[in-house]
Amino acid sequence: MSTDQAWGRVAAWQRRRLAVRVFAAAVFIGLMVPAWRVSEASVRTLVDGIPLAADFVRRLFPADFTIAGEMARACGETAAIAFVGTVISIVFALGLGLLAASNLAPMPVAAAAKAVLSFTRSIPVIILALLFVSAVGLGPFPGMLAIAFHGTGMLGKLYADEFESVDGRILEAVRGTGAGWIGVVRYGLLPQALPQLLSLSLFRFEMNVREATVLGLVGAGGIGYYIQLYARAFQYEKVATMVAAVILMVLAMDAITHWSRRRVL
Amino acid sequence: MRVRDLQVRYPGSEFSLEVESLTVRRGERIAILGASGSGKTTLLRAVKGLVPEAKGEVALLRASGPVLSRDERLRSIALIYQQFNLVGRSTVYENILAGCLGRLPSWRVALGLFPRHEREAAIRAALEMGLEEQLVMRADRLSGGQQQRVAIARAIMQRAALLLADEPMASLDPETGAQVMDALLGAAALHGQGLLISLHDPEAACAYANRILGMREGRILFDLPSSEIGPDHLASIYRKEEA
Repeated sequence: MSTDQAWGRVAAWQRRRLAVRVFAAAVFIGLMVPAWRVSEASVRTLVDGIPLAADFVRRLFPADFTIAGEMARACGETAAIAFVGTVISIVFALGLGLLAASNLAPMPVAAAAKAVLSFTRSIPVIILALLFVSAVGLGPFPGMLAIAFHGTGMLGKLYADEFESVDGRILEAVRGTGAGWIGVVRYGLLPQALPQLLSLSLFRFEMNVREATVLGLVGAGGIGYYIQLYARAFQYEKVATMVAAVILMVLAMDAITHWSRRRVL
Repeated sequence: MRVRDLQVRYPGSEFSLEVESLTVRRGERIAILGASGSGKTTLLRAVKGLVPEAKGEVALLRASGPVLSRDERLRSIALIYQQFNLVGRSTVYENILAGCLGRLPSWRVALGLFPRHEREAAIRAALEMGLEEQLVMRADRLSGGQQQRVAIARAIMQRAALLLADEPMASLDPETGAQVMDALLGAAALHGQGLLISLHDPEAACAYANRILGMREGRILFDLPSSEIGPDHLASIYRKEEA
């Protein structure tokens, strides 16, 4: 083949690529323009709102630290909700994740488990919290249930993906020793997947701490309850204390989980 | 190309590489032989400038002096990897074109605007390697031999003074490996580049190279024309430690 023919082939490919890009750009603009309108996005309104936002921030100061005790208790409650919720979701996610992994479970079982997980994580935590509040009443308990329920769906899916990506040849070798299903899982699968499972679980815990801070808005316990309480009473200097506590707590949890993740990986 | 006082030591590891002097002239074909762990790959990577721990100098022969900086080494020495290291999702043409990235200004790289003469050079390199049918195919759809030829075309495109190849036959079956070696030797001869290749097969090394370096435990034991290599030399690099 001559240089000219080769050149023609490259040119044709470049034209095809250009056509694809033009099409993709057209689709993107076609979606972006109406979506911008529907979301009533307006740079003007945003700019006009800056003084109002500044005023709100100004009223947060000076923060009122007389409620430090209340603040610490609320933070502890939020962390406790996240911790228990995460542990419960890990237990259920392990079981469902094993059933949902297509290399471990028969097709229909895996498909069913995947559907269960997908349904479980499709409901936002805040809506689950509303549901559980109406079932078991106000307080941290319904919040913990909401986190455990949603977390099971999220973690189960990630666990299943992790199980599916382990080296099948090693599972085959363990099975080749005559080991049964439990033997393969215990001595072939878990040793390979464990560091990733721990890392995913720590990450989930970190996210749950953040989720748990807003549960109080619907009466499901934790620091969010106090934030909405003081905001409604226009006691912004107390809101400021609570918000500072949330930021500090989330940063601390980030640091702790980041540090432990580096240890296990 | 001259290498002087090259030293590599990794903290917490017993392995060390020490090369007092190594010269590669234009058109020379040098094979490095040695057991696994003898430092063949480390030597190539250190010459290329990919080992941050390495100390020592690499200079161009004809310019009689100026020591090359790490950036200059990255640009003027091309390395062909055992596992090809192509961008699998990109086309053969794009992979080859990447060979000229080191001499383009950043704005051209950012916008993907390759000058016409570079695009023509990429196509010529592809034709030279017999890749005309595969030009706009994804690199990961190609066979191992074809992928290694794309890697060679990318190295040609780099217009390096020195071509390094790390076990270019090891990931391929013997016949494909031989074809790839012929292509590599042909390219180096055509473009007047020096060639430094690590190989694990002494027979292939003697057949393809005109000089052989024997390595053991990070040192060069011998540096001889391939016609002078005998069983004793091979035994000296492959023999196990005596108790």
